[in-house]
Amino acid sequence: MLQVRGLSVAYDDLPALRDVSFDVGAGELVTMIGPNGAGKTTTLKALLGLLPYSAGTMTFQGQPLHDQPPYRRVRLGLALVPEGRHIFPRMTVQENLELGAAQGRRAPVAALEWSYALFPILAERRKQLAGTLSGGQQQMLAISRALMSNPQLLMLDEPSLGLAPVVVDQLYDKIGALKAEGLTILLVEQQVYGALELADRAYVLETGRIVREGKRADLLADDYIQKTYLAL
Amino acid sequence: MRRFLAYSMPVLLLFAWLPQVLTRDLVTFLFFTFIFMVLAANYDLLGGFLRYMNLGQGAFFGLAAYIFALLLQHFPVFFLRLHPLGLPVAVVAAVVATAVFAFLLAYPLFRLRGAYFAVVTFGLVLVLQQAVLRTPALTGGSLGVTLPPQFYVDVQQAYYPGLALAFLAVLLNFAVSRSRLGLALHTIRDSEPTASAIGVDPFRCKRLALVLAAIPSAMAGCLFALFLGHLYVETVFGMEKTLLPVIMALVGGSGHFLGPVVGGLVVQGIDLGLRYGAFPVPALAIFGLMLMATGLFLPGGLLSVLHPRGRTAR
Amino acid sequence: MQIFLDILVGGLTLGGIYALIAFTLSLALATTHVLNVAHGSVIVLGAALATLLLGFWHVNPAVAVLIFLVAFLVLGFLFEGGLVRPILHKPPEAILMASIVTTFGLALALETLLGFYWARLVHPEPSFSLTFRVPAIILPGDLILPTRRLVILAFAVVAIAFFHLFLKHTRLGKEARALSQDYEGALVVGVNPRAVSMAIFTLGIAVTALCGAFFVLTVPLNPYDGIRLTLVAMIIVVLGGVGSLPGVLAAGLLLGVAEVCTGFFLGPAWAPVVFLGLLFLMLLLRPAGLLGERQ
Repeated sequence: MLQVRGLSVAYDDLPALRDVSFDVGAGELVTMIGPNGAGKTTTLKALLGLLPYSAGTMTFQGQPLHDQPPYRRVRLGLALVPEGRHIFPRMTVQENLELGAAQGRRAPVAALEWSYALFPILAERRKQLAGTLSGGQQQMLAISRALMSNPQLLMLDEPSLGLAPVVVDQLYDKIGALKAEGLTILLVEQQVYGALELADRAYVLETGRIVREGKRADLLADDYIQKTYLAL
Repeated sequence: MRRFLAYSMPVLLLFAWLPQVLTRDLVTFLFFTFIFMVLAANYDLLGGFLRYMNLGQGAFFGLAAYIFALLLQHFPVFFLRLHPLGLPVAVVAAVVATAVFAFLLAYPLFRLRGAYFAVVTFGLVLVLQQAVLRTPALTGGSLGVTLPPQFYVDVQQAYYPGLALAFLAVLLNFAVSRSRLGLALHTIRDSEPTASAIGVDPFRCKRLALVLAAIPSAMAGCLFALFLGHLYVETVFGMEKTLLPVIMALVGGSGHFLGPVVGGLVVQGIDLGLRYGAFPVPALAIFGLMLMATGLFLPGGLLSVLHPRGRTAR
Repeated sequence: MQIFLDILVGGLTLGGIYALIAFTLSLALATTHVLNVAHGSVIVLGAALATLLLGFWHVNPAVAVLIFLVAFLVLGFLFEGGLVRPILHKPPEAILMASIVTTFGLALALETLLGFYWARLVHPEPSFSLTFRVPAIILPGDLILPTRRLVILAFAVVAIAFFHLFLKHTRLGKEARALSQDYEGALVVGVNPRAVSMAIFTLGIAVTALCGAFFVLTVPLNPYDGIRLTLVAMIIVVLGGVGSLPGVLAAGLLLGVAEVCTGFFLGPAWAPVVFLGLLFLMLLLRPAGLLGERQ
């Protein structure tokens, strides 16, 4: 569904991504892991068009993404849950969700009910200002909001960041549920074990390059991965 | 530093020689150009290094000019008796007062950033203008201030100090750009939290920059007052002194020490051309258009075209 | 008592207009990071066109309104296309800087050209003002109601209500709020910042120009008042907080009343001093603005 070849991104003169290539197939959950500053967030932002890139190609369902501004890519079916959530603090939960659906193909009412079913806690607080929610709740809101546009590919940028382990478990359960429904997911994480558990395939990104890739089982058995990321 | 001095020597000599061959009008014109260059360079100390658009640079100029002139007007005997130190003492007094003003101003002013800073500093000039007009007893109000005749100075005498001041102002920018202060300012510009993290006190650096920027402008104000012999509020606190230096710095190339020089020459040159060509469009409108073009197409100013490797504002 | 009524209505009216002017500026700033220094010039242009249409050419008022609206919707469109769109793709800091420089140049050019050509083609002393006959309303107790000002106040109220409804209930309005609350979040959700910016600027400029036309029903303006008016608007935005309609309203009213009171008790030219005094005071006490937003 998504093909990235030779993607390079630079911040002014500082290269952040060098010649990165990866795929995400329909129905897969692909994980990208790596240390801080490896370029994971950069990758997702470049995919959505939030950052300019200096080289490479990105193709989504056969369509090149090159010069499309972010809003067009959302219309094509990409959705991003960005690092730091970026919800609209002075709008209600409901308003946040409605904005997510603005580009969507599903009728807003049905989409809203579906979101509330997935995350009942949002239903309880639908009139509350989003800025007053807890970190975990905001994360759920961000994910719901991204889902409102009925995306073909959902990208998540470090959803576990700043959340208590219990909450992270709940979150991952939901992500698993979404995967079970057939949604294609690209998950970027620093928290390696949980992410690998969910993944079909994974890529390891270090200082802007892909250093390892493969199926989940293979990576979990890999020595380097075990030593560097799983502390075994 | 040595290269800077080496390159500037011939330029300075050229300008020093020009009064011999140019008409009085043109020499006066060049004198004003020098004054503007000082203001432009001082503006750019904050505008280019810190990206704080200090539209109130003219306030320092005008304030010093007024203090200087008022001192001479009210205490002529005192200053005459100190001759030949009379004028320098008055200048020092005015400059120190202005520097203190700048120092104190830093406290409320630097609570603002970006656009607000620009607009409020602009308002500062307006306020000073009004303050002068409203206190005729102290400042002569709309009638202005007249210097006693003993202090009159003509163009030939004012020209060389003017040239020296312009050179000093540019030198100041150059020196700062090569100094730790300049590095600190650039860091603050790019990311203030980072600057704090590496031990730079952002407020103190900004305050220092403001005071440094105030001093040459203050001196220029005194020189200007001396040359004019009579100060009117509109000339000293007028829009010209406020806006033109900013235009010069931006059009020339904000952030580089040569920017104000290039800008000053270009803007004044156009002004001169318009005047002699009797072009039916007012100069300010042309400058406005140039500014628009700069903002849209050439954010680095003319210097980014002439000298692509120079570090100007992006 | 009459004096009190005059000051009250005068202060509210001026405050209302100030709030409106500040709001359109703040809305643009909050959603697109563009600071329009020529905002005040638009006000002056509005006053100029209104004066020209109604004062000099005596065009039928209904037609004049039409011409006026069309002219400024087009101006807003051109402004957005020519000055805003080319810089929208830059990071927010860069947009702010570039917009300050460009609109500053625009303001300078506009004001100078307006003054220059008005003096040559219309009247040697450019000054824009409007008058119209309004029936005087006399209240019990022999109080004269300043009806002309009430008309202006009514306009301000209607316009502010319009904006409130626009932001709260239309899709573009919600997208604008989203952009101002979290720019990246808005992009991620598929908001098209160019469409929003187009709407904001065309609407904003048309309304601002209308403010100019109404403004000169009481106080005349000249071509060079533009930057001063932008300054007033900016001070209100600083006091009230960027993007906050209630904050800007409160600040605008405060300043309007303050200015009328100062004008009455101290004399008209003390206003800028009072403004900046208030501003500095606020900066020292509550840097976050009257109703608290960042900056």
